Amino acid sequence: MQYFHFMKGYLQLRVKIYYHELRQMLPAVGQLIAFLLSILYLAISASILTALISLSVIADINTPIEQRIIYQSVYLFLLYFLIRIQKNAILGLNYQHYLATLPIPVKLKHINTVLLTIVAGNLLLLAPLFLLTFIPDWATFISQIHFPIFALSTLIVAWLCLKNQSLPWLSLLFAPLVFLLGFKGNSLSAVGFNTSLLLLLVVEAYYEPVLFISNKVLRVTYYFQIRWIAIKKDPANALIRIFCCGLFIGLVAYVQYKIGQVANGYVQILSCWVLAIIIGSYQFDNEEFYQHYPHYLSGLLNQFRTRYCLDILPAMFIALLSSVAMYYCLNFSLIIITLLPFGVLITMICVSKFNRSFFIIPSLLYALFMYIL
Amino acid sequence: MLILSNVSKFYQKNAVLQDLTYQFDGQKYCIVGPNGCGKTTLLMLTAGLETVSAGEITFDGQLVHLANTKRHLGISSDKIVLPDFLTAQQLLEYHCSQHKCSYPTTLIEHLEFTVQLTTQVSALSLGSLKKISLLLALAHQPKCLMLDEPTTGLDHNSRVWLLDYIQNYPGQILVTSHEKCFTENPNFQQIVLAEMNQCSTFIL
Repeated sequence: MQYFHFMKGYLQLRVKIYYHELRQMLPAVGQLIAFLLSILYLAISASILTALISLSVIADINTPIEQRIIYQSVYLFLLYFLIRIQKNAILGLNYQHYLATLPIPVKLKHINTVLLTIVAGNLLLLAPLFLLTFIPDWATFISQIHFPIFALSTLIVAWLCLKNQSLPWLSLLFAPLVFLLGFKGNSLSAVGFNTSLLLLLVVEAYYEPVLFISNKVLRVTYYFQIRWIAIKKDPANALIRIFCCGLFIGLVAYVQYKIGQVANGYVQILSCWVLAIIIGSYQFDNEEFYQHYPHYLSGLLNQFRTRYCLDILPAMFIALLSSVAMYYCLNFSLIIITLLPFGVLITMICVSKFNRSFFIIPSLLYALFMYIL
Repeated sequence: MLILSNVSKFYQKNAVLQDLTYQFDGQKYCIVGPNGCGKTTLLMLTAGLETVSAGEITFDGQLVHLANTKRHLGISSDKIVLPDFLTAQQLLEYHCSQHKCSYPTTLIEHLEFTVQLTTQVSALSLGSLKKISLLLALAHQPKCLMLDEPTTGLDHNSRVWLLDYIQNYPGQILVTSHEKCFTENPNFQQIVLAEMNQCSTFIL
């Protein structure tokens, strides 16, 4: 009885911390979310539904291996990011020392973490497990073993996300790419692919090979190295933006593929503008960095203007890469594509000047100007 | 020489320092006063880390917030939040590359900081944070050294070494402290920063 009393009180505390952290996080991306919801509200709900619908493709053992690799990788990626952005809230990391002082059994803490992870991962985490319950008997279970292995992979991804610091590049990025390029045709079975992926995830959970390499201490002599280390230390925001850009470009490519024509001017301008806002809003991170270390940065011998220009470069680089990809792969017009880097620049400057109150409008005006042209 | 001319500092409408004018023409100073009277703020202003609301601060005739002036200034204060994602060594290396000075191996040994060099700043203890802060202030041997409560949190050996080092430091030193080793030290000229919100001058 006392155990349940403990459990109830502790769970209430963890839930409060979880929602408090989420509330803290929301204003930081509030305008971006509001913007995305207003422009892409159908696409967002559709992308979640697409992820769920993709389970039918993943569950089908006859799905071609290339399609399986793409669907499963995107699914696991989405799950990873969904939990990664809530990691602080799930684990209550900002209050970890206080939580550690509480006389709560470790097992109970783990149970609470599992419950909160399920809440955080919701449909993406639960849907595969839910589908498993529909397997009627062990014979079917064995014949369809690739899906239980995939369901187990989703759990490992969730656990790995909470346990490790770095993104599991090896299992979520590198391996799928190698499989995709190396096993064209059906020379690799679904069970083989899923088992390999599961093993890699387990290996990465314990050894973090990429982190091992990146942990080599580098000699720091330039400011940009400091920023790079800062980004690597907390990569979530940068990765979310890169992921959103990839997803968005992928969606545009998919639409083009389906309708079999070059996207018209309006779609091109809209795509460039949305990407400009997503990439340009990265300036919020830079501003947060400036606000976090004001005195240290003031003490540096380089000028603020120099640091500002250096901090803009990564976003501009991503914008440029996206522009090149859209120009060569999606046949975007060269004139319209210039909207992307310029839009990013305008957005970033507006974030610095006006912060959250006015950063979308100038690039929108620029996009309208392009549309009229 | 460090000169304050009609310096005021406001945080919103709250005046922390008001119309201060002073020439630091001596070698060693200890700024004293009750908590919250503006001692740390004064150091931050004189190091060029915060901007003055009115007036100006110069060192050797140049404004303190200019990069060239900052080469001659060094500050250690707990108020300066260091990049906690770097290791102590990375922080020192970057500092030395900026100031084009040699890596402060001897200082590190004297402060017994060698073991902590590979530790991330976020994982350093309070005493170690004080040491890295001091190392950053001392590494480039500034003409004017500003130390905010320099002995707080230091272990016995480091404290003894630091006091001796400060005693023989060739440049100008401004210290804020409540410790007798500074407040009752005849080598340090005492500056009482009193009644800051109403009063506007140093009382010597």
